[in-house]
Amino acid sequence: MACPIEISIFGNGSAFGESVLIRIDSNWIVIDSCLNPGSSKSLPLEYLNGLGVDLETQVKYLVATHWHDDHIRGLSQIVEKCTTNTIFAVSAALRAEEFANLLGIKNQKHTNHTGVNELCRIVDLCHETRIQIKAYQQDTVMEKYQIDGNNIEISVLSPSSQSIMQALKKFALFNRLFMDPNRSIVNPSPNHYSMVIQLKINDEVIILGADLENTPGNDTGWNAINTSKQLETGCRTFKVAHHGSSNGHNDHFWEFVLAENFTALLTPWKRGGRFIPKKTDVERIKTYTDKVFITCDPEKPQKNRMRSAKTDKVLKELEINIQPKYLRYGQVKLTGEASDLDWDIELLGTAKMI
Amino acid sequence: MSAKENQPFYFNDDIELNPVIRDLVDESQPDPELSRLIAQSFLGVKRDTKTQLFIDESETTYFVDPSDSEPIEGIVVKKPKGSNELKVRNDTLIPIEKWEGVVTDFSTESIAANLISVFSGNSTEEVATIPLDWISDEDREYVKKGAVFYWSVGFETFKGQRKRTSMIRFRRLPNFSKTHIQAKQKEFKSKFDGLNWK
Repeated sequence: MACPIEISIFGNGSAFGESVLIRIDSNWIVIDSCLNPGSSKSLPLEYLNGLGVDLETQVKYLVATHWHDDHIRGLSQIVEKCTTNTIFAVSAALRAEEFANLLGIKNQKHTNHTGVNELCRIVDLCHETRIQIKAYQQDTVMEKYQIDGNNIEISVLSPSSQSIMQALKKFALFNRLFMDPNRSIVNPSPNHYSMVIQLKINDEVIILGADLENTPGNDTGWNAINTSKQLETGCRTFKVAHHGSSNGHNDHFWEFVLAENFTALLTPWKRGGRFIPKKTDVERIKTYTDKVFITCDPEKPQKNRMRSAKTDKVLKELEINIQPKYLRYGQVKLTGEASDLDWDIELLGTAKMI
Repeated sequence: MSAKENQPFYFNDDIELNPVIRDLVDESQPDPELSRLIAQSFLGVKRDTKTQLFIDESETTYFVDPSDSEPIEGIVVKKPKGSNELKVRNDTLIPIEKWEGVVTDFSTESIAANLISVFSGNSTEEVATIPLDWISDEDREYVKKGAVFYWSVGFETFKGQRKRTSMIRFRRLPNFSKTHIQAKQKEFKSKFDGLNWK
């Protein structure tokens, strides 16, 4: 019996946003969400709708790895379509009172910006739909089952207990800093309470690194993952952490956990003149593997007109330089058969091999 | 254009209104009753709602509908000295683009900001670097990370002449009281804990 597997990674052409979809047989896991810049709809939702997937019965998990803007935009649109059949999985750091208090302060509908608004919408919708919510931390097995003779195991490698503790201190700090209704939360680091998920299909190991970063301590960030009881070595498919940044790189993990010439998947991140992965990041990644796929080139995003020529002219005359929106998006699509996972790789939209 | 009931309405930044009514006499005192009248006449604030009014330290008027905790930023309306006549400024700015911005970084020369177009309704952000010179002296004290502002670009009519112009104004909502914040947090925490946690 066939058990089709798909891993698709989405990112929009403006190099801001990441989502991963996993198909196991007829069921789906949605990890994070980003928007289609053309329609402002959730990219993974549009994709699933296009395939005719019944979200009420076929989406088993909806995962919010962390609460940053580029990972949760449009997640509420998916929550809206799901029912109690879906488990909404979040990092255990987001279950804390400190985080609820932060949302309580910022739940004032004062601005269109920040992931906080999206989270507040999600909380409202979860209240209505009664969707199940589970908070996960390191070394938890989300699910372990057999399907058509294939062993499937989904487990959580991060956040560690110590990472959660550090996140709570940060939330408490934000509670004081952002009490002012005229301020939005910007740059809400750190990333080391991100949920990192490991998927094991028979002997094949796939790790999705979210935005997890390195930290100085041994019991936080990637160092903590290296001591995880659930961690499997020989990973042949890796969603590179934190957009390929040097902060997301951990020597031990890359040398001893990842298999030789593994398949690397990544999305870029760009804000103004700053972007990752940098050229040096790409060079570093390519010393480990030549199979590197990205949803769009951060240095050459796809341009598309979004304003009238008249508006563009006035902006130019006033010497106003607004970075244009990029209306396209990219998808790296890996498909295969559970019993013999040899990926067929499709690059769609702005996606490319680097 | 009128304010929608129970929705935040930032009149100070909305320069589409014609006529734009603002007080031009800085040395005079705010007049709550006159402000209420203006709000009812021009902003669509209903007369039969128990709209409360208060004025913050920067003398910006806010209208608060008891059915919604969201303050509605209004206009500073003051009685000109020695006169009961309202001054009505007919200068208008016709915006062709308007953004809500959030300061992500700043230096002595410029601010970096994320922008969302108010007109397009598209929530995809854009980014811009804005010279600090473009921020009025009055607004510079509000420049800090996370500060919310409104940026309009368009045509301004001044004494019958049109010129291209750009205007940035930082938001000045009053700080919430500790009691208000605690009540909000308690309310949200109750909802948060009441979710279907497993």
